[in-house]
Amino acid sequence: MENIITVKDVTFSYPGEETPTLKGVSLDVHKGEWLSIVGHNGSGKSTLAKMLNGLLLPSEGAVNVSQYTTGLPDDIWEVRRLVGMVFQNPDNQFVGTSVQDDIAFGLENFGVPRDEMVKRINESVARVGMEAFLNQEPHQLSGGQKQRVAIAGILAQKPSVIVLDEATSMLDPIGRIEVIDTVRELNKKEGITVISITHDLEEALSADRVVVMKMGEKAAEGVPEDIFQQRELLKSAGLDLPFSLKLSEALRHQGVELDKSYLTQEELVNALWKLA
Amino acid sequence: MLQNVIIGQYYPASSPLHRMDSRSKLIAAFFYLFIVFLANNWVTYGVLIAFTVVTISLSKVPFRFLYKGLKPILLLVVFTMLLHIFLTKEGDLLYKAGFLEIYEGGVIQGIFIALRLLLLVMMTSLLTLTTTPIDITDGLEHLLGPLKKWRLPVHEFALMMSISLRFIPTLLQETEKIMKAQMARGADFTSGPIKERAKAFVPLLVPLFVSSFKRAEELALAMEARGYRGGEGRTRLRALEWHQRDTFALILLALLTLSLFLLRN
Ligand SMILES: Nc1ncnc2c1ncn2[C@@H]1O[C@H](COP(=O)(O)OP(=O)(O)OP(=O)(O)O)[C@@H](O)[C@H]1O
Ligand SMILES: [Mg+2]
Repeated sequence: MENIITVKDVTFSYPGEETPTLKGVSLDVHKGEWLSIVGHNGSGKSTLAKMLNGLLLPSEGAVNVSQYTTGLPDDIWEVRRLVGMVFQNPDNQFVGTSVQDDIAFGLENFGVPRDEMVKRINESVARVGMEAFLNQEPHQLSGGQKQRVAIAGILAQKPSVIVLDEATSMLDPIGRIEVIDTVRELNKKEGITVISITHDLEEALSADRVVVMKMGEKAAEGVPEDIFQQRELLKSAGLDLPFSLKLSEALRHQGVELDKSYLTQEELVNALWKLA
Repeated sequence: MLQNVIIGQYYPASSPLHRMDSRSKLIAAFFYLFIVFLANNWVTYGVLIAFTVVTISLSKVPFRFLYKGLKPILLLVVFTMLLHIFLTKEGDLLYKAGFLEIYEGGVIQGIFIALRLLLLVMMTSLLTLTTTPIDITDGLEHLLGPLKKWRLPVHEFALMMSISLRFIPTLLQETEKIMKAQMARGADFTSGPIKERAKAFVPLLVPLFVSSFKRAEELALAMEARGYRGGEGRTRLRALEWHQRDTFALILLALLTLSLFLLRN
């Protein structure tokens, strides 16, 4: 499988910190996949994310995006264009005074000519379903809508990868669904690679692959079905078990005859209704 | 109240003045500041007043909005007028009561100075009434562009302005939220002696400051992630368009200046 991002033996310390925040992390991100990164608070997820678009540069090791290297001054802008990033707080990444000004911000930075800009804004705002809001000001939008504008701003740059750093954690359930569905559609229909840092295990369960971070190291990597069966691993990384898994185990404990513990709600429901 | 702060005193309407390029309006307002001082007799003041009244009626801004801008300086106008009336001792003596003497020249001077102040304030308010703050920012950035050569941070200044404009409503919303949170804990912002009230604002300002710094840091990171690298090589979505009417307006202003020169004493 073709890799879009390769992280090779990356070690990183924040200035003034004694212990490195990332310790020898290696990671391949496949083109078109949905990769979830999970881990306890302070395990280095955001630091790793900032490595991917060159906001931070590795102290040792290297990060490559497509044929570009984040550490090379000549490559960095192309890296930032290819790897878009949505942050946690919807307000603190909205730069423009209106939706269209905000989407334009990235394009202006990359020197896209005005006619092309207008075309790309109209096109990308439609892809996130915000075309009715072009002239709205940020304080008139909900959190989920602001995050979708942030995604539109990235789409306008014609990216290969979207990194979501807990992009839905400050949203209400409706906003969360809006944003995840938008990104899922982009992932499925347009083949945009998604790297999602999340504390939401249900979301991680639906990923193609999951990476578990633990104290600055990559503790595990694999498909969710494997990762979430490893209770010891999850426990040592400070993670909870997915709800359906906990429920199936509790049910089995109570003597309900389930064949195994189910990861997703759907599987569990399917097994349960056959029982009666 | 939110709406009011964001758009400043902008009065949305569709008038020839609203449609003018913000650059020509800025140039015109700046120029006007100087030519007001050319007027020094009834005829020239008459010409200026006529020009100003016509401009105001073209703008379709109701007079009460202009009056709002005038209110704060009315006291100053009256004060300077009286000062001139009592202190200038020229022309015929009109009135005398004890040490109080009022001369014709004083009255005329007083009226002229008052008119001058009123005209100035009305024209500059007209600029902000017919142009949104963001358009003014854009216009300033373009007009001051040449100063970049002398390393004046024109682009940075304009970006700062537009980000401030963008964050004013956000910070107001936040202020309101913190205020409610502190009120729920028993803080009292509305009563008591001034000293106590000022003290009550400390627990409001501190969290606001802290969160603003956090916002600034996150915003800087987000801007960098979106490829921001200063003003160089940047293109712009907001285009300013100079039309014939803008050239025409400036020509009119030049004609006004010429006539003031010819008609003044
Ligand atoms: N700018 C910084 N300067 C110094 N240390 C930092 C900085 N940012 C993060 N750290 C430290 O690096 C470690 C990893 O932080 P990071 O933000 O990557 O964690 P995270 O996995 O994203 O956590 P969370 O789930 O809370 O977002 C933490 O111990 C944190 O204190
Ligand atoms: Mg984080």
